[in-house]
Amino acid sequence: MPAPTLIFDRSQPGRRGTQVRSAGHQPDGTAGLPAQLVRADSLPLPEVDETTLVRHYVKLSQINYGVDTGFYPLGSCTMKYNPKVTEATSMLPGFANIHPTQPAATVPGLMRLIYELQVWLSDICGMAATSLQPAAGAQGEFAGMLVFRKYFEQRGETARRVMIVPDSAHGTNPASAHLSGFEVAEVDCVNHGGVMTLELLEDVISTHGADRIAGIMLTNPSTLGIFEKNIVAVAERLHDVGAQLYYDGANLNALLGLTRPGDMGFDLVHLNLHKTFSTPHGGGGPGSGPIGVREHLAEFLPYPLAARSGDGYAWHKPEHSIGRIKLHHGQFLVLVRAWAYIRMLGPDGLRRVAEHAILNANYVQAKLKHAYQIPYADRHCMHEFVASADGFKDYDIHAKDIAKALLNDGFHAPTCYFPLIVHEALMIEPTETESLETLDKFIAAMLRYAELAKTDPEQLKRLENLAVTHLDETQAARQLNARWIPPANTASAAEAK
Amino acid sequence: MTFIPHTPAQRAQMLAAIGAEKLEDLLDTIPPELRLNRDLNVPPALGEAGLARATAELANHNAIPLNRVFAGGGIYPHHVPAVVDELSHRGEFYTAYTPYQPEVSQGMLQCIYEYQSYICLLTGMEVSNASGYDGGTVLADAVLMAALTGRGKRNKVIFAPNVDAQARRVVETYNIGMELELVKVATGDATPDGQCPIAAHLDEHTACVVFQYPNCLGYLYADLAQRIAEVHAAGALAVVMFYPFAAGLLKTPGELGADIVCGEAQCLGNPMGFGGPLLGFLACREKLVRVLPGRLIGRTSCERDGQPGEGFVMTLQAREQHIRREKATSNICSNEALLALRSCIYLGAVGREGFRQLAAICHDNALKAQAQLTALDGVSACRDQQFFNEFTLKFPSGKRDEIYDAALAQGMLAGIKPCGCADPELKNCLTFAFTEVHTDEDIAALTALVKEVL
Amino acid sequence: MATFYYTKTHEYIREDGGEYYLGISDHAQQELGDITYVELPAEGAEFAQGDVCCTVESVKAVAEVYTQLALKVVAVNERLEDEPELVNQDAQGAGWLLKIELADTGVLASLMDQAAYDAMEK
Repeated sequence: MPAPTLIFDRSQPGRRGTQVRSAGHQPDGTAGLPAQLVRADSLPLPEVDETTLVRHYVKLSQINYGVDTGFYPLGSCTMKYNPKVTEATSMLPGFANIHPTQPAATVPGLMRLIYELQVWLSDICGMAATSLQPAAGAQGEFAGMLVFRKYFEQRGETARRVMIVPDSAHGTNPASAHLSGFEVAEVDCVNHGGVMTLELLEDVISTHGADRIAGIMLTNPSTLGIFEKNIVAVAERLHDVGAQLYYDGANLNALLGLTRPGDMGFDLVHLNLHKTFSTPHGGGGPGSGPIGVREHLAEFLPYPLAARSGDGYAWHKPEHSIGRIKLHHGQFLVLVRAWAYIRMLGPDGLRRVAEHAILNANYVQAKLKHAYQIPYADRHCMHEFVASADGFKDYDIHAKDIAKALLNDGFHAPTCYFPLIVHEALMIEPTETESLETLDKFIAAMLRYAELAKTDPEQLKRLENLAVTHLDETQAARQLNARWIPPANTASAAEAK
Repeated sequence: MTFIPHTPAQRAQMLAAIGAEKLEDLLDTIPPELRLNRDLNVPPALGEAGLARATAELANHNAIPLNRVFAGGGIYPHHVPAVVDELSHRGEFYTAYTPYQPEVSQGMLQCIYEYQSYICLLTGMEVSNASGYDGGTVLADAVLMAALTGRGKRNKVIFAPNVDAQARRVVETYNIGMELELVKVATGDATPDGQCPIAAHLDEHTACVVFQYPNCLGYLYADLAQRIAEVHAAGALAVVMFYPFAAGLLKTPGELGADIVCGEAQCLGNPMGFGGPLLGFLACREKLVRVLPGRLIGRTSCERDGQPGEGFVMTLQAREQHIRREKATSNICSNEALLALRSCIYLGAVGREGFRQLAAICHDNALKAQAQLTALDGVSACRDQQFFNEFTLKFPSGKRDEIYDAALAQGMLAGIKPCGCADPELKNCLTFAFTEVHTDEDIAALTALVKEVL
Repeated sequence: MATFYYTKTHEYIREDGGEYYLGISDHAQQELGDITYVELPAEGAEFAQGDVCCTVESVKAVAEVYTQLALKVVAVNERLEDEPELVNQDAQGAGWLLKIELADTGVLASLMDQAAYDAMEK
């Protein structure tokens, strides 16, 4: 049975890899340790030479798809090009090799970088202050929820424990609210065009009571890629009842320099630097999820923040800070990349990012709208739009079939089956860094599938270019195999002698 | 530089296809009163050369060389082999998203499966998640796992003496929502012979006891296995925060009986990076897998080139936020996959014997340094306990900061100042860490500096 | 001959020679797809009307099992720990979730019988 070869399978007893220290004095290591704690044998780590190691991981990279491989229109994930120069910047020893306990006064450049990024992100979002602490978007959401909680506690409004979350929202929203001790009031926006209407809002306010509503979690543009014009009225109504508005920054790429969450009435924003500010996703992380707040929430931000102090900078803990949300100073090397990105684009470049993200999305939408159902295709979308494969269900072709056909043809797939508002959803976000030539190839493929779905659906389902297909997810969940287990006899060559 | 590829002609062609005249027409859905009619307050754009100049100004010119950093506390100046940077910087890895589409993500999925395998080996656990943010947040996750296992009947969390203060702060922040009872056993309760007193605090409401191994002052509780047995006797879980490098010489927490093991794995091939991004690891016994937060990669059957074969997928997703929403075991979405990959390459590079030897060098360096430093008049060990590669020394009153500052002036980071909030004695102490980057000359230089100040 | 009573949320209660079993309907297991895990309560646990007593997971969905009547758990189906697929194979037979005791069997009349449930499904 063709099975993947693990690094452990390539091990040869007695083989040595990278030499970190020259083979001089080799302490045996057991002196001065409690006898009960000393291990008898060495851990069965693989024994491979550096050549074998390199080929192993190069091969694995070759069966992995990234933005550097090709078009990655994964809706709501903003898979734009990651500039190599920002990577190189983050690896400078003067950033990468600094121990986090080094006093602020001895690292003025690093402190200035953090301070400047706080200030720039605040302006980009229309906020008064920003904390760069949270490690990822979901942690930013969590920190934001805790800020709301502390704010209401400080005001003595401890009854405000209801967080309104549209059912069309990303799953992290309700999970973050719950983890922060809020009661989640899910609102059925899915059956109302994915929009938070004033009517729905009145319903939820009267159900729970105006004095129990803590706030709402929203994103704009909505999950359909449409700018929510209701937002100002929604914000006014919620502020009227004393509640707060949370902005999920997943879709901020559409707004850079054009409009700001703060101007729409949001009180708190989280950003995904690994989306909008082009830091790489790394195959799942590290991310970075700064949160920005209006003036009245600044005293609750997670610490530490960089603040001006005389001629230099110092760490600052806001008076009623929710506390520390992670170790040390946020995802510092990710912050370096975002800082470098903003520095290279400047104000004009940032606005052009949003404009061209919108241009690319509208171009693809215009080209696909006759072949796929697209809700609200009569309007201009923002940086992404949702197409539906629902029109092909009579031919037994679904969104996942379109997605797999794209993979087979060398593209990444769009986000599938999200948002739930649209049946058989394919959420397409081209981003601004993709050329017309790439978009045209993608469009041609999508149009071909729409045709094939009706004329030869079996051909559409043939995945001849993919080495690995039909992964059995049921078996994976029922018979969990989540690690390599060393064979029983694992004594190393050194110990065998 | 904007990385936007469009030529003016192409832009015109695209606008025509949309039926618009100019870019501005596409923005008609944004109400005019919400438009920002000014430039953002960020500095003007730079080219690559300009950026290089601007960053050179900020990146620490006089960065302390790795071999003159004698500080740890979770983040250590280990050598990162060149092969780690080279391989982890392959674009196919670092520009990928979470592996939602397994057909084109087998590379990263396999790397994370290997990572989970390594973490299980290093911790002695049966399941590891695909990584967490850092050593502090995974401790909060571990505590939450224990509370979930206690099903509302066990809501007390006991911290054994000398658990890292920053990590405890993170747990306190997470606890704003969880509302568990957090109990810290005072540092002073630790007996001089290294016994760890927790028995008095254990009861039927205890969800877990958190131990740090080695503890935040660098020391080892020789009787950790017995203490864990006491925890189990009370029906609670033992959470161990672990420094994985120590597994080169020491028994894994799993061998000592731990139920959940977490910690910071920056030491496995990742730069210190001023403290981020870091690599939190979280592993547990298989019976706890349902409450384990975060991504999990599983091996399963598939078709490979049309034949029956095996491959990797994200699994047990029904635990996660995108399916369970507010009822999920956590809100975690992204992790630290790229750092997890780096740790795989690192452990493969140094290998079985190399890892043991590196751990032995770290320990040996620490032994030498402690011997040389405590030979100086007025310098004594803070605890009469054994240690792996980190220990804490006490200096004559008022001398601690003088030593620390003099070292900085000479381009040396002389340890870290332990959190003295609960133990005034620690205000005269420094915690020193040693790794394989330190040579006899480096240790001699540190000793000479301390001697000079005293 | 067993008698089935159904809820609107697709649970059933099976009465079989004076013994009562709770499970999810064949329709519900079809909707969920391949079931990979069933979380069961402790024996002896008591639930009030409207409580969640079990959770059933498939690869990409999760379903909570509600109690429409106050009940006490007499036994749980331990086979499901290793063979969650039993719920797919025989939801209303070997794939039962809980053996239960009802405080008041009279309230069963408030649930749907087979004909009414079948009608709701159409």
